Amino acid sequence: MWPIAFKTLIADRGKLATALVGVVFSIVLVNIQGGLFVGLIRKASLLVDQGLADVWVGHKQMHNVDFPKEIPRQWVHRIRGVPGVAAAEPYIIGFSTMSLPSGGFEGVVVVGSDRASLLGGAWNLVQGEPDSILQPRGIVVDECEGHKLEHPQLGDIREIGGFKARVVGLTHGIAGFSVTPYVFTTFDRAVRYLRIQRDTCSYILVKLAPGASRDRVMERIRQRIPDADTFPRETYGMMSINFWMTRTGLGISFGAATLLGLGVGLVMVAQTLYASVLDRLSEFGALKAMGAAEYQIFSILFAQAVSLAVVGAMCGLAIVSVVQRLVHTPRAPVAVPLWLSLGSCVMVMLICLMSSLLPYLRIRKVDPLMVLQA
Amino acid sequence: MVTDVPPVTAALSGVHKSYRRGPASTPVLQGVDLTLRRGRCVFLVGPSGSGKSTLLAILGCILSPDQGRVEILGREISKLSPPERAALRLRHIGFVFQRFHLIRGLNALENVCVPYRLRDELNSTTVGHAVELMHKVGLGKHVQDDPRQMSSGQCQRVALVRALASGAEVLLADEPTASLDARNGQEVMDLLRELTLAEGKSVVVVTHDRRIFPYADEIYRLDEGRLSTSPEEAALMQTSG
Ligand SMILES: Nc1ncnc2c1ncn2[C@@H]1O[C@H](COP(=O)(O)OP(=O)(O)O)[C@@H](O)[C@H]1O
Ligand SMILES: [Mg+2]
Repeated sequence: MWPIAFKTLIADRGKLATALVGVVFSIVLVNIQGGLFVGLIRKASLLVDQGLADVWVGHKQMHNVDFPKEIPRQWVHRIRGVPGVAAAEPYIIGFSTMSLPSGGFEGVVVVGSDRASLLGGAWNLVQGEPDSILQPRGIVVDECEGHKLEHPQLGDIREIGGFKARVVGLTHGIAGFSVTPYVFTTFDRAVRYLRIQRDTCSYILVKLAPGASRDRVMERIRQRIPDADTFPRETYGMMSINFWMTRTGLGISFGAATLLGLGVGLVMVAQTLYASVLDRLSEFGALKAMGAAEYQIFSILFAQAVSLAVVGAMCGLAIVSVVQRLVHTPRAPVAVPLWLSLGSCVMVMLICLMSSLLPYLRIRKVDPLMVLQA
Repeated sequence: MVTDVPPVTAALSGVHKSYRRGPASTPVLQGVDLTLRRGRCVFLVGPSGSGKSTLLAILGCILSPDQGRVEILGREISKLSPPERAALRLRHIGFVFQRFHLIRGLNALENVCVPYRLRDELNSTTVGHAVELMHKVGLGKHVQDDPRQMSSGQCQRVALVRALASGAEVLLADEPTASLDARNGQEVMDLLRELTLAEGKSVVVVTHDRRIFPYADEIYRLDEGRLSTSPEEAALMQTSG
């Protein structure tokens, strides 16, 4: 029945185009909308995802990488003694303000990492070297946040928390979820900028020795420091994401917009399939009179729905990849994960099949007698 | 004498049918008996609304009678489930609809091959047979044409070939010449007789068209829910002389 399905579908060119627009619209909307959402929400766990630490140790009930509470720095020694730990370094994250040349100021998130290992330090440097940060007063900022910090260049001087800082490196694409720019520096300098006690830190970042069991190491750390929370990297990343999702309701608004898009696509496909079936009721009646079985009639609609979904999804994904390239920026990244693209194709397939059900029910009611009665 | 009566393909006896619309019930057929035989062409005539299409639908297993017996190729229809009836139509009954009911988007040959497709018998042999038939009815140059670009006479031939190609033993045609001019009507009837009776098919033609009466072997008039033969129409029959 597939050839009949295709040829009749193509014969109704206008309706075919409308239905395809519906499918393409759904696919593009879900993927771009979802891609913007994923791109945005992933910023919430940027430091965790890119930070290279296997395990994060911090204050009890820590819940967002950007908003830590200080812990004793000495814990680092207790953790270094745990078998299976290759390295454990203090890490500091905190809010401060940067004074700008114009006389204005901007809130910044100061990130300080151990000067020997630079665990948790900046990545994606486009100017300067990774160890430039060891230069006196060295800080690394992101070029994409340049407009907020009045376009810092290498060698420019800024003031953070009342102390001088010199830009020694520029990264590309490190923009966090909170709109405050990150400033990377060494642990000692960060302590000064943030005006906190030298014997505290925000987290202790742990790297495992090759072959060490992460669960076993975490268990030992928990035994040694019952006052700390210890999470694997992915878990803490997800926690940071969930923090913003639940506290801003972002997931709901993005999800609602996406569902709306799917709904519009569904209506367009359903309405066109239904309209083309109404146009052809007597043809279906004739097929029934000739002795077509129910499953054969249904398979025509099924084939039409499936081919609409497949062709529409392919066009849609092609458009998505173009749009993604056009609108993607580090500040508004469009990250379309594979599961989203595949998921949207599955959704669209289900939508098309659902849309073919209604016209099928209409055809079921067609009495072949109609074709004999003029 | 008994030997030259051809075998029966379909038989109706005591068939009653009325349409119910709400509480009202319109009787249409009130005790119809009809026997179709191989190689014979039966005409059904009668005023509009007298129930000719209804009778055709019953013969074609599309409609069940309220009362009476319908037997097609030896099978009692009331004992068949709807899917079994559909299967019987597919194998053994060919329809030529008044309005052709060709499928938009399929070319002439593809339309002719729809029954093959429904029977899962589409192959080079069957398609070859269909093309051959199309040549026979003068559609040789229009095999790949879109029926929307063809005249009604040509479309009626496509519909005729669609009903014939599948090899059905019983052919039911509802006003096959109604949308055709006199010449096309004659030609379609010539083809119908030539292609059916030689192969021993039974043909039922519902018509108002007196010009084609000479093609009938038997003519029945449907009136007041019953069939009768009338001498007036019989006089116009080819075989009556
Ligand atoms: N589905 C139906 N419901 C109710 N009445 C019907 C239906 N089909 C036909 N009729 C009525 O039955 C009568 C016979 O119809 P039909 O068999 O189409 O007659 P013909 O083909 O001889 O014109 C007509 O009066 C028509 O109005
Ligand atoms: Mg009629």
